[in-house]
Amino acid sequence: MPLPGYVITGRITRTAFGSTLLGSRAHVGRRESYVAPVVVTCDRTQWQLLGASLLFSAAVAVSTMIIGFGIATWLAGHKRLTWISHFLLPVLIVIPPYLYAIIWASPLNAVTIWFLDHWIIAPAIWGWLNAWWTEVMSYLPLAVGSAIVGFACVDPSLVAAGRVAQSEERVFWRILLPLALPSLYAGASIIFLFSLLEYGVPALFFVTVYAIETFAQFSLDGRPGPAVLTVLPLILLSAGILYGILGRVRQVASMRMHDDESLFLFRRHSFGWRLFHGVAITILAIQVLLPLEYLLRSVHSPLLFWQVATAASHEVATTIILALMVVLTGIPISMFLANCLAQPGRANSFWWIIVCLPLALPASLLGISMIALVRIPGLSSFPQAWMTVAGSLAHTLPLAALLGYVVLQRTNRQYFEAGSIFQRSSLLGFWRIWLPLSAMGFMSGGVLLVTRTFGELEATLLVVAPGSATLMMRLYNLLHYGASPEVSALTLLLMLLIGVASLLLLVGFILAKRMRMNGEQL
Amino acid sequence: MNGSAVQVCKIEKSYGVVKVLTDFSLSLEVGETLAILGPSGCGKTTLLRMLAGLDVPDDGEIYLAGQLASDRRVLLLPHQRHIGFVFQQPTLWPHMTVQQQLEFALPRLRTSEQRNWLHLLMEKTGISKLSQRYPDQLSGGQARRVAIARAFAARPTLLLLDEPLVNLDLTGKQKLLKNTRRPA
Repeated sequence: MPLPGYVITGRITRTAFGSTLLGSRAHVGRRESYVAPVVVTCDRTQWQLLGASLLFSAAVAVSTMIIGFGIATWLAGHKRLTWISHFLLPVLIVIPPYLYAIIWASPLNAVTIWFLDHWIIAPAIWGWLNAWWTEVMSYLPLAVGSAIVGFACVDPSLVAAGRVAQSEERVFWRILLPLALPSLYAGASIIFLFSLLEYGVPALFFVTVYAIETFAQFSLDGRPGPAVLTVLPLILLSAGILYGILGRVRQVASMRMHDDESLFLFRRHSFGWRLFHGVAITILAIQVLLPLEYLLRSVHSPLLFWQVATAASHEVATTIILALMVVLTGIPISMFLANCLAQPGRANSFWWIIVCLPLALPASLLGISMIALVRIPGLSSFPQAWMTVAGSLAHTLPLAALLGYVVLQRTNRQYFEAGSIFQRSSLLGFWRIWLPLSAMGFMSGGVLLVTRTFGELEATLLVVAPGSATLMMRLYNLLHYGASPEVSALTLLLMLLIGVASLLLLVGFILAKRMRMNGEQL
Repeated sequence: MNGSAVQVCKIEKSYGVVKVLTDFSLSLEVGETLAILGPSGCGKTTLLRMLAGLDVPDDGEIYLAGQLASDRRVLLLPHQRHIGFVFQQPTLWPHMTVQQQLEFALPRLRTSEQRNWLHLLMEKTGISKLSQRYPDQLSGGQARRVAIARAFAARPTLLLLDEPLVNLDLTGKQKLLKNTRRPA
């Protein structure tokens, strides 16, 4: 029975059990019984690691939301800069955290070395600080986006009614902010969850977080059982957080979006506000400009970029083919799932669990589950190319389905009902009513699937067929030798691919708007 | 069941703990018009939605033209019931022009026949000049007239109107009441 291949470990993956895995390619071809009894004991170190990971993720979520909130309120007062929220933020949101980590690795290393030379802070803390900063940077667009959506959900007439009686600042704190809270809360919880389940960024800065435990445990003996048990506390915690998020997501999805009128409320700011805005905007500028400047500078010349791109042509082709396969498979499934989620009644609880469960699982565990699945006799002939597709879909498909659900919820349900009455056939109703009205959501979902596939590493790493490495894997392997012009060139190439995909989405939006498809859903 | 146009037998419907309809029955013969009056929240819209197949009764049955259409499940899909529905809100699809809205609801006809019927329908409802406009380019009254025309377009055997006179001026109301009895 062919096994799904190899585990490519990071530079250093130290586990809570004290094991150290330094090999660049550890074969996991040893055949194990997946029903073997499993005993895993959680020692004190593991609980400490879980606690540290929770604190780390909470710090990331809170600080990101505070900065994001500052940027959103600043943008609110500058109507001419709406292109930032309409174009730049969506592009930044789809760049995967790991790519941010690669971008930030060198500038942060330089800063770290300088600080360590001067003995200002203990070396142990620097890994955490670097990982924290990188994650804050990578989730910042998401935080700004959720704050903007939160404000847009507030009915301007409610704000206007408050302004008649109270000062602008009081209206902000007492009316606008409480009403925008569901979206802010959802944004913070999502960032917390993503940070908790992500280990690529901390690993790059030599920091061990709990999410890596499953990967490390599986790499030790190739048995999925202990890996699942090891990560069980994390799964339970994530499921609890998800349960809280979903209520907010449903709440936000059912709220009507308004023009930005309520956002452009505050024109006279106190010194404290201006300072807060100044810091937030400086961070946004750094977030966009500094890494870009670093990458462009380290690539030296267009010739080098071209040479690196040509050398990686096989990986680029594999990545694009994989992304296409993911989109072609993922969009119809996400349509189906979004429709199931949007159905009224108790039956949809089942679909909510099915859709959201993968979000509560670390990506590496999904990869391990797939390996375990193909070990089951009868499923071993499952084509390995589709394993990679499934690995890429595992974490992004729920997000695409949720995006589709939000769009369906935001579209007047009676449009669909009227369609179901007046259509000549279900197929025609789907084609002429359902699809045009929900196209925006699924187009966005498609781009999300593509861009996340470009950046996916943790699940596909476990299931990829030998000789079918993606661009991200090439980048990851090159990082073993530290930052180099080649790494920078490949990062730029990956960003270029993501930029092109996002641009296609933007063109799609503009065309759709021209075709008057936007209606009430935007 | 007999050959009544609509036969509703002891239907019940609740939303959570709120009982909207309890043991409700009615019968409507072919050619008959029935107006249902009542305070807000008494279940008028819910009843129409169940007749249209958009909602399912918790208990009881609905027969349309003698055929079982709903019990605890929807047996006949909404578009298979040959009904026209005017919703409380116009619910015109934002991505279609007025003409496209009506064309979508038209039954399968030959091209010339379809054109004639569409022309007649638009003329009768006073929307001929609006045919190329999108919903956001219509006033409240115009949108209401388009919604009514759309309900007639399919030549339904049963017409369900949920507060159809909202947003119409006096002339519009008189025209509608006259045309509802003798559409074209």
